[in-house]
Amino acid sequence: MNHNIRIFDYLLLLLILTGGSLGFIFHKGNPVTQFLVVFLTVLLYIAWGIWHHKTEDRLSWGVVTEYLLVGALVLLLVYLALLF
Amino acid sequence: MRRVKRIFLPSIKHRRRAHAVSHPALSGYIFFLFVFLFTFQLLARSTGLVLGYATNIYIEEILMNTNLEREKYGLSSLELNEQLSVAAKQKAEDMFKGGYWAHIAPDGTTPWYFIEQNGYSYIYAGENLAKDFNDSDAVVRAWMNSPTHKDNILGENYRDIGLAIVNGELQDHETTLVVQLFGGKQKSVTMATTKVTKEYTPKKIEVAFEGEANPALHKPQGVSQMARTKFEPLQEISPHRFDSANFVRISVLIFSLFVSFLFALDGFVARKRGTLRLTGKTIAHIGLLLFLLLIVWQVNVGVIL
Repeated sequence: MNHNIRIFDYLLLLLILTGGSLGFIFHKGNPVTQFLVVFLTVLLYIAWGIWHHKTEDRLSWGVVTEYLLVGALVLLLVYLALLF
Repeated sequence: MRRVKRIFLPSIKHRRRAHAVSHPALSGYIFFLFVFLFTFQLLARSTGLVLGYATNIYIEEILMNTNLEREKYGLSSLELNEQLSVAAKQKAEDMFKGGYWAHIAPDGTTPWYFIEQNGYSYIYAGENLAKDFNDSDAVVRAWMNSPTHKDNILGENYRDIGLAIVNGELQDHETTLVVQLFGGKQKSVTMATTKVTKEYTPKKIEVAFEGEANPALHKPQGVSQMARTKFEPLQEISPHRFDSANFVRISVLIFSLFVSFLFALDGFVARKRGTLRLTGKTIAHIGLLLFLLLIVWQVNVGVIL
């Protein structure tokens, strides 16, 4: 059962990232909307991280901070790429 | 050596990630990016460099590529026409002024209006538009990959072409518009019908810039001479500049790959050692970074209409 839950968790993450990728491509030519799509995807990714670790009973501020930092890094890199 | 290992490999004793992907390191990367962003924008403003403008799109190259495509199908070359080029420039400027990205303006103005205003008497006319591209080859390639745009480029009834490349801000986004206008004043002898095919033409006139041309640029064979004798430069072309867009894009891709590798190495070594840690899921972070790679790859691909 635990194994199945973990697979489901990662499938959910894959769905989030796939949805974000498709949304980004769909809004080609509109960088503002594209950035919003990425922002939403990162938010969902952070939410996923918190939820996943909570279900594993391994949630801590350190873990949350890590997801926030990785998310912020990705957002900034996307902003840089879209700016140019 | 131990210090180097500690940077890239996780600590067994402290059950933490490698230094290169620790919280302070990630914060450091973010801080560095902010500083880079701020500095670059400051430099751009002080030197007049405008981010978002294409640096490698040239009329001569688009004309050459267009005619090369026509040659492949046994069609005659198109001649760069001043009236059409001025019309293309006016269309580009109208799009920037009106804030629209379409063949027909919100007020109903068609591309043919600009053609007629410049005194070009046509039976056949067409328009291709492009924006957000970084180089001439990519623009023509994108048009050729689209059936309707390809039809314009390979239009048998077209004899003249107008081209414009205009920088500006469109819908809160700095971009480079490419407008291609096609015109034919008489039907082709091979045509059996007199069907008028009015299609879109690109807007942005970057009239032959013979006097402004950068001698280091590759000159298309047999085209530049025609261009030089026909037109006076109507608009100063963008000076040949460092291609910041591609540089940033490639830098972001390399950095993402590097950080993904660091996370993968950290996760792999920790797993191999059987170290239990209270950290985020490495595979999730790598997934997000791969997502970043995919979308940055899509950035600046350009849009045609």
